[in-house]
Amino acid sequence: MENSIFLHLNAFVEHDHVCHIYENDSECFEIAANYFIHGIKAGKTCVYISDRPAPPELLKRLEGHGVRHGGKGKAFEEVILGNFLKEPRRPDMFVSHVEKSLEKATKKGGRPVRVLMTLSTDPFFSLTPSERIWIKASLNKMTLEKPVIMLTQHNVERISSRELLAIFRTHPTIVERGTVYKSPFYRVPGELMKEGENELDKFGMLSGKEKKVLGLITSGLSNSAIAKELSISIKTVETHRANIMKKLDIHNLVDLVKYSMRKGLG
Amino acid sequence: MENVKVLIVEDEIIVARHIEDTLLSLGYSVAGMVSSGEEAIKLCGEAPRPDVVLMDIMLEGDIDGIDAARKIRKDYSIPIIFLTAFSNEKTLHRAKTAKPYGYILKPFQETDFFTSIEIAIHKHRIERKLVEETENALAAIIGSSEVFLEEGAAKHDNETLRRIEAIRHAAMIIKDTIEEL
Repeated sequence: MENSIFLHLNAFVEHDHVCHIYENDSECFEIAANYFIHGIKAGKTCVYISDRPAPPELLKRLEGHGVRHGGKGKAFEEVILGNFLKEPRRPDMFVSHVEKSLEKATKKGGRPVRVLMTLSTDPFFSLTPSERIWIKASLNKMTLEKPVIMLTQHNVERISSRELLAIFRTHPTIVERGTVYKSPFYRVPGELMKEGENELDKFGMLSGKEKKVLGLITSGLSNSAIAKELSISIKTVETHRANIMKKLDIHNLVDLVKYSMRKGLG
Repeated sequence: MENVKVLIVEDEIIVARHIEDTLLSLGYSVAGMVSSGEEAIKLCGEAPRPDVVLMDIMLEGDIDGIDAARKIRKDYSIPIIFLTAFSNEKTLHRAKTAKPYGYILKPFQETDFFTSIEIAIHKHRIERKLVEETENALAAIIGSSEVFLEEGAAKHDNETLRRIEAIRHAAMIIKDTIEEL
């Protein structure tokens, strides 16, 4: 496994509940299956959260250990999330859907929940790092007893420093090929939660008109063209722009455009 | 003619008065008369801001007219016209670095003020228009290229990324050139 960071689940079982796996990695499936099997033996209801049905390879491994999903008294729940993280992205709906499913699973089984989350990387990684942190922090809060863990296998070349930082912030320990690293960036879920909420709030603070102006700036229209488009004066456009930057705490135009593109505007 | 407010920065009071009379007779209004670079910078930051600054190079205080002009240009983007009695090569060279919109040699004629001020305002307006019409477009090009590049190899192939880097680079050159104006 040249050039890959392997966040080994076994090292995290005691810390974490949510795990991301790449779907064509047999070692990941092995670990994921073990994670569930140990959970079930320990009397927990296991919930598999994904944006698509559990891969046959995982089910096969579980069945090999006598774990069936579906049917009465099942110890294995499956939550399919569909398109919550695709356009238009609704991380809040994603979280509330997971929340409801977990609630249901807890009530049904009357047992603690063990969650394995696997999202195909595309929708998850199209989120901004702060949205991801917010989702993870929300999930941590839901499963309270232990923080969320991530199992993944990233090709180092394919992961930006920003994403690495996001991983390090949500995980106290990282294991790469047998070496354990303590993360100097780890933040407890409560802190992250607050940070994530602030970030979401910031965008929510923009008025409808401001979002419209931001969208037009992002498409590269000049202030005078925007004024024409919205039938307002150039001065008003300039005021909107200044207020948007103040609210978002962004102080140059390029960063503003990047922020707004990631929010799906423009 | 629209109301053009001119700030006079001149440490010789008689000369300053003479300039004021000239400007008023030409139909301009005078935003203020100060004798040091520090005062000039302060006034340029206060509303209503002057539209043009007539700046003597030799001034009272710690900084000369060239340094004051540089600062005003950088912080407030107000066009500057230098007034000076001498034009040796060294001073002229330094004056250029402040990118003035005009250079009037003493003793001056009434018409020097009129043509210099009108040209300065016109030139400044064109430059501002260039900045205003292009800054959002350039930010959109640079911003979207950077979003692409940050998404990196996970989403795009190397050839695409290489080309996008070239687009970003070209846009940065245009942006830097415009900013330098």
